[in-house]
Amino acid sequence: MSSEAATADSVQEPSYIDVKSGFWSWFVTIDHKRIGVMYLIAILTAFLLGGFFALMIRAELLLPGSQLVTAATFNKLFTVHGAIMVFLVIIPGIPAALGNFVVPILLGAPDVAFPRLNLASYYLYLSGALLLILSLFLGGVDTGWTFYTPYSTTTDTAVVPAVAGAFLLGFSSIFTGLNMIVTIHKFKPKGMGWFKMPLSLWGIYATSVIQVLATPVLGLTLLLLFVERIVGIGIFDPALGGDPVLFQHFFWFYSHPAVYIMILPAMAVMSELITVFAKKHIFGYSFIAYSSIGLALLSFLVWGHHMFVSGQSTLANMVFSALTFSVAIPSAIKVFNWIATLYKADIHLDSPMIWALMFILLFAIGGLTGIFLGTLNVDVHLHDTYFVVSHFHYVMMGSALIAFFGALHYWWPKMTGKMYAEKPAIIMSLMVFFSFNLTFMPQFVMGSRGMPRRYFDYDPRFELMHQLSSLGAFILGVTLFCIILNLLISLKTGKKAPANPWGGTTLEWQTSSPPPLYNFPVGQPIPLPELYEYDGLSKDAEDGGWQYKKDAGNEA
Amino acid sequence: MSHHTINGHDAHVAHHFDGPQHQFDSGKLGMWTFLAQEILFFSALFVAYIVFRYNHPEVFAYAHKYLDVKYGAINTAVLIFSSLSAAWAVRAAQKNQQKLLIACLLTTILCAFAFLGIKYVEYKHKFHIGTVYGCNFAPSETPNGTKIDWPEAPKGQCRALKASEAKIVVEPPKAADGTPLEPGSPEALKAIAEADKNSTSRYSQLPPPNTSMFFSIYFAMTGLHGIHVLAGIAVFIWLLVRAIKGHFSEAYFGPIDFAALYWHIVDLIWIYLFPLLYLIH
Amino acid sequence: MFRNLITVLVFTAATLVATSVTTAQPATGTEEAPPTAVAPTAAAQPVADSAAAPTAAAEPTAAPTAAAEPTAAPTAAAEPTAAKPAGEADKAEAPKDAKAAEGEAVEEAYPFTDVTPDSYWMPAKAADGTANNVDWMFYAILGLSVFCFFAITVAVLYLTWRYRHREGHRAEPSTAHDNVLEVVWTIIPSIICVFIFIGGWKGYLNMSTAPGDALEIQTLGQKWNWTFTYSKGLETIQRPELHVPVNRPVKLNMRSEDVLHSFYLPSFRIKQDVIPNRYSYLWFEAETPGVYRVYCAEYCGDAHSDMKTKVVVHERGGYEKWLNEEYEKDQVDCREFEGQEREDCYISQGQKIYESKGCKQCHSLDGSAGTGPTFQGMWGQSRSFTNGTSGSVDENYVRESVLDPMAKVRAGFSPVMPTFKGKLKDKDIDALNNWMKAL
Repeated sequence: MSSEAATADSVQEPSYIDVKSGFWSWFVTIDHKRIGVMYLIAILTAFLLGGFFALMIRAELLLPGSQLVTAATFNKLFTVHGAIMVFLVIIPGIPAALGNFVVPILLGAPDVAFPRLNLASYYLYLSGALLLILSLFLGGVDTGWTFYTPYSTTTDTAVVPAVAGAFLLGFSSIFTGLNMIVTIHKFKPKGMGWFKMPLSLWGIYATSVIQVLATPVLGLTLLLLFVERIVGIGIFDPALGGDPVLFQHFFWFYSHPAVYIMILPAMAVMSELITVFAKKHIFGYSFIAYSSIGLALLSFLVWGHHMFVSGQSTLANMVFSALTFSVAIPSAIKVFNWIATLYKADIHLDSPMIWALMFILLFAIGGLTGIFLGTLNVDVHLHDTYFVVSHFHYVMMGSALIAFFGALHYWWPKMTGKMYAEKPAIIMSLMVFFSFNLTFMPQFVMGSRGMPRRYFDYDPRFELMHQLSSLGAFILGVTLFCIILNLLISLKTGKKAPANPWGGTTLEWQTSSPPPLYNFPVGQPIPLPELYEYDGLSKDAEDGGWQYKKDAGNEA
Repeated sequence: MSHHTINGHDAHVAHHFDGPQHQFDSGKLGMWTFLAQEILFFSALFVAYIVFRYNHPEVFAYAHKYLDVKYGAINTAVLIFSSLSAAWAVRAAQKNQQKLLIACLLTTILCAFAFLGIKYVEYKHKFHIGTVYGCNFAPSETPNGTKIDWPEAPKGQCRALKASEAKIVVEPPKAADGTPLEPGSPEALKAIAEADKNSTSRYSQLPPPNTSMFFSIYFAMTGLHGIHVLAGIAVFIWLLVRAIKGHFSEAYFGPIDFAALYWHIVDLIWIYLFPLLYLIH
Repeated sequence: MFRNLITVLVFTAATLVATSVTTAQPATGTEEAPPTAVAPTAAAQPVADSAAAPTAAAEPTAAPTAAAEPTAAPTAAAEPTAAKPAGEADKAEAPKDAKAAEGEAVEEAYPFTDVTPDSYWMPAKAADGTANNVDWMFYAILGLSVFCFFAITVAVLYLTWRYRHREGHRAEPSTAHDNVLEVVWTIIPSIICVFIFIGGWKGYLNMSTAPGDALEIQTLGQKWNWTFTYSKGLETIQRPELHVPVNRPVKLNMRSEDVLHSFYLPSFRIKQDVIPNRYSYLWFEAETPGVYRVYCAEYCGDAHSDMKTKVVVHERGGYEKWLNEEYEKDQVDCREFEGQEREDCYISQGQKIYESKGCKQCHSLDGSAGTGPTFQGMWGQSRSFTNGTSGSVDENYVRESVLDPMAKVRAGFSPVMPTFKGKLKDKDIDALNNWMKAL
């Protein structure tokens, strides 16, 4: 609009962090970047809390019998560990924290489509989180994060605040997804068609579709559970003819797609990282993009594979098993494309790339062990054992969280304007790989040998496996804490980050680190470089980062 | 290549949109996405309905007779009319007809209140005769009005589970004006014969097991729908205030358009609920 | 233990290899050198062993069987009641240790025979039928997975090393898409998946269709024990352990009294959720006599991990013999005896009921509070209840608590006890009362 007027003072716009200061300027901000940062703070806090509970669980399981806590406390520990990690950490991890920050910038837009709704989502998230924490002070919840009826309707623990919290968290997730869908649809700059979008946008888009379409079913299910606890509506009450297994159908109709809410953005940012650090165009762009959408749609059709032994009909089991295998294919396609991208590349082993390579390997394990569980007769044996526990930790933690940390290391300079210490970051990421495998590999063996999950006490023959697992968990806990510490230290002592520290071609690297309030200097043209073409880039900018060679030009 | 611009002119266009059309399009897509979410939100209850009706067809065939089709039909008409007035409000805003806009919004709000009022009468009656969800289900009469003696349960126990001890009350014959007839008189015998004929009706007998499930579904579905009507009322009152202040014009009518869309969905859900609960056989 | 040792090495090595190679740096090798690494770990092993010993001793056969070499397993698995050549010696010393260590003597009539897993990945096998199907599919997928994982790992590591950034190195021009390649790596996994699906599906069909002539046993799950009802003519007996004949299909008709449970038989590779107000079914045919584990696999509350029992597979003819004996035992009515004999009868019957009817899961005899109050030193004491009243523990209180547990709940405990109306006869309650008195 008034570009002439703006250019005069656009040379050095203050960054979004400096533009205003004080508690209030953050508390009521509608700037997507600040909201993203606030999510990040909340999520990392929740992560440390959830991790602490995980370590308590592993400490208790060092030996058979009661060590630290009672069985009742143990049950509350794994419940709250699961609920925090799923609802407070992994689901909002990439979409709400990092996605909020980067999606508008990736589009060259000044903000998300509905900034106030965005802030409302954040406060819904915060209230949900506080209700979950409140349930701890009211004695805790012992239902498992799955809230299965009729246990959840009959236990005398604090189910009501926990369910209310999860309900609010669900709506926070829905509104974030809604915002992202509209933002991606309506804010693409001229020259960026759907198939010129960075892959992380595809991932976030597919995730948002699931968030909007699956989460309401969880919302209603939790609402019914809530009403059951308060007034006894009876829908899940077997004594009145209600159906407790219906709860499982509803729950997994959401919670299986929820797995893809967690993993799709992870895959998307990993695609981004791999091409940037391999300095080579991503292999099979359209296949990766379509496989994201394919996974999002297929994820709605496979919830029954969580219920092969729940009393579901044989026919339903067959159909769900068959559909489950169809989900394996798009995931495999992505892995092959990532590997193909490495071919003839120029691989820079910076810390985000280490996370990305770890992700490929851990995701491969998570995916391959999923085949065991999709196979009907094998699943009957493995269902509800540690094999399942280990499998979903490989997917949710080994893949989704590892990707979150990779993405965090990738975008940290952009978010904070600071470079973290690279050596410790690399060493600790390798420690994570080692200790993660030490924690969860033994759980596969325990599981297939018949160690059921959610057991407070166990057979002495599983002792060694449990001890290996606990040892790994302790190392993992300390390492992850140090990783967060390393990032925080960079805020104080880190070098100033260049605009484009990794040599990325997407839009967020074409603006300063950290970006100005409206992401790009107002009134100036936004450069739109050729996506994933690294030929013109070299690491010789004045600020120490990458820039386009003068003669090559940076315009498409 | 595009220039990075920040909107600073139009009072009704937020800073990050290119212009009013961009804002309207974004809002509309946002609203449709939200409605998709709404449909999924209700869908779980429809699935619950299907599952229970499939498992207990006899319960639905019996218990729907407790509902009064008359009230349901009036409410359907009221809601359809309010949808019309909501759509008309959009049209009025687009054509800058301020008074008509206010009238349409007001009509919509009044219809919504009328709907809730009728719903309140229905709910009150159900609580009165004990046809409610869960453990409180203890009907004092059958759908045909035959009295039932449903036993009380000790405190803390489930009254609905006392179904096996419930009995049909056989009342002494009465004249049309309610005065008891002399036992053995021809009138009395005639009344008894009449009552006998009635009592062979399915709906004069005790409810089948698990009838409370029908009311669980009924209250869950209509209750959730009612909450949506309440939310709609709040939104339309907000729009009414803004309309009186003269915010809307042919250049800016997005909020009315979006609220009307929402209202149509609320209406549409009721159009499914009415036959599924009131009109089944 | 030896297998566990191998496990440690395998895992340490595997994770170390994987870790060191991810960086595309040559593996350091120090952690890997197998001959030197074995020694220290092996030396550390006895410590872990002795630490595990007291716990293992609680399960009389755990230690000895584990020590025995794998080939001994079939012998131990022979008819548990009749032939116990290997078990005899163990039982002589093991219960003594258990008494000393735990204070609670566990008299194991049917010691487990599946303590040592048959294989590294899978528990001992009690039947070839379904278990072989599962194991075959498991190992097939395992092989495939290991192959794929190593292929992926090698590819990632090799490419990362080969194309790592060096001074002057640039990405070489190469195509960014290849539809033929994409189609190939879409089709091949799809075909493999179809085969795996069919394999799993066929195996599942076998395990989900019970033969018509199966022996039916009613199975009830409740917090936190299992009750099996065996039919003998028109009479039934209830036991907390599952006893089945060998080489005969058995069908469990299962139901839950409260929340969801899941009946899990690792040695048969089967499990099925147990649901309130609905029957679910499980069938199997045991082929190897022995005693195997039963777990609850669906989370069900505080004592979820204690909700376990055993399945005893009897030799040919042994099941009928067992059923007759148990039926006779149930017919014992202590009131037929006089004096000391009657006292002894009450005490042995009471103890038996305590152990077999599920009292044991919640009420201890050693003074520690479980889900319910301990029975130790309870008799004749005055107790306060959650409804504000109080009273002394006597015959009437015990009877009322058994038949209507919610009437008077001890203060400080949750009202979670199920009723035993219909499960305990008058003579049983008599026996319980007299037994408790003597505690």
